Parts: sequence; C-alpha cells; structure tokens
Amino acid sequence: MKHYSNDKILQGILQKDNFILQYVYNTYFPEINLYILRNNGVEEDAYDIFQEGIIIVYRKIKDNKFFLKCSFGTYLYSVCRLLWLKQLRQKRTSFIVREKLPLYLKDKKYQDIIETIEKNERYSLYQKYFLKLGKDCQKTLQLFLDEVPLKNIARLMGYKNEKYAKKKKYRCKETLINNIKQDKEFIELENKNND
Amino acid sequence: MKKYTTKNIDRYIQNEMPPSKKQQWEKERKSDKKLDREIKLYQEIEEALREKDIISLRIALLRIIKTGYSPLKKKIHNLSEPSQITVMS
Repeated sequence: MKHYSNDKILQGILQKDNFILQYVYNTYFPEINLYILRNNGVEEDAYDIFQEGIIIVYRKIKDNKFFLKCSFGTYLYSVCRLLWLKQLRQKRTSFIVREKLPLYLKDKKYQDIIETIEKNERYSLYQKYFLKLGKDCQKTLQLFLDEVPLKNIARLMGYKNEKYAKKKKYRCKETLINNIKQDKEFIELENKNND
Repeated sequence: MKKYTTKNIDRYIQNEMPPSKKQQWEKERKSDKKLDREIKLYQEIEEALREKDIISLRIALLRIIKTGYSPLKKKIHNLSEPSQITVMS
C-alpha cells in the first residue's frame, strides 16, 4: 500500500479528500480500535472517537498554528487516547490509569489540544443532532443561517408563504434543541459545568 | 419560563425584537441564570451549525464507514500491545 507523508495527509484532511480519508481509516483505525476495545470500549466507541480525532486534527490545521513534531499516526493516536480518557472520566467511571494520565488535564503541554477537544465536544453533539434532522429541516435551517431572504427560502423549499417558512424554522430548531437536551452526553456536560 | 419559547429566544438572538423588549430581556438575563444559559445554548448551537466545512467533513467520514469499511480484517494481528486502563469498579 502506498504511504503518504504528514504534509500530504494533513492537506488531504483539509481538502476532505476522500482517498486520503480512506487511507487514514485503513492505516490508523485498527490500532485505535484495539486500544479502545482493550480499555472498556466497544467498536462503536472507537468509530466515534476516531471520527472526532480527525475532526480535531482538522480544527488544528485550520488554526494555522499546527506543526507536527511526530508522525501523523502518533499524533492522531494521542488525540484519540485523550478523547477516550476524557470520555471515561466524564462517565465518571472509576478507573486507574497505568500511564500518568489522570493529570493530563493540568499538563501544560496538553492545554492547547484540550481546549480544542472541549470546544469540539459540544459542537460535535450539536452537529450530530443536526445531521439526524430530516433533510427538509437541515436545509431550512441552513438557508436561514446563510441569511437567504425569507421570500427565497419559501420559494426554494416549496413552502406556501414566508410565514410558514418561519414557522418551519422554529419547529426545526425546537426539535433540534429538544433532542440535544435529552442526550445523555449533553446532560453529563451540563452537570459538569454546573459542578 | 413560558415566554422564553424557541420563537422568542430566536428572535432575541437574531436581533428581531423591538429595542425596548430586548432591553428588558437583557435585564432578565442578568438575574435569571436559567435564561442566560438557555440563550448561550442557542447561540452556541447556531455557531456550531455555521461550521459548514466541519459538517461536510463529518458527512464524508460517515460515508466512509457506511460504505463498508471493515478495519478488523486488516493489520490487527500486527499490532503491539497498547497501554491499558484498569477498571476498579
């Protein structure tokens, strides 16, 4: 199998190049999957963590302050490991870590990535629920966010009038927010913030 | 909380409220932590939905998984033992 340099992989992720993304899965997922399976997780957790790991890398590349000092695989593995440990901690699982990881949140060298992880944590939840809405709702909300005039939204979506378009927007937003609020992970995050 | 409906909160964050009403909400926000949290949540969700590039990356990644990616068939036997967390209870 062909191997790609760090730069090629980062560029591919930034461009959402399907070929590179597939390569990243094929090359790096098995090791992360194994780590999670051996540390109280299931394969579904591994998929989630891996996806969020790539998205965090993407956020870092977009920051423009991102310089890899190790191989891409090593970096992605450490991001996924932090994500998983954070998730276990949030679930308030009582665990001992053989590595010196309970202190990782306070470690300065991790601060930058931890900030990105924390922002991503909430945003990821919102975006996942957005993608679970019906196509109609997704498109309506997106058109409003793009500040498309109400009249055009009604026409594009085939709604009978502008009033209905607005009503639809509120209804979609309400569904989205109610779904988010019922999510276990959201409740955990809220509880953590209120502690 | 009845007046704090999705419609009203949305009108507040979109600046669609008459100035006097908006001012009243600003005041209420200061004394009502629940309302303040609710508004912040709406704003945060809106910000997250504006990240079109990340949403499209999510879709691309989901597509890879859905199109039958089967990682365990590959490589797994060549891996070294990863570090472990020991569960106490």
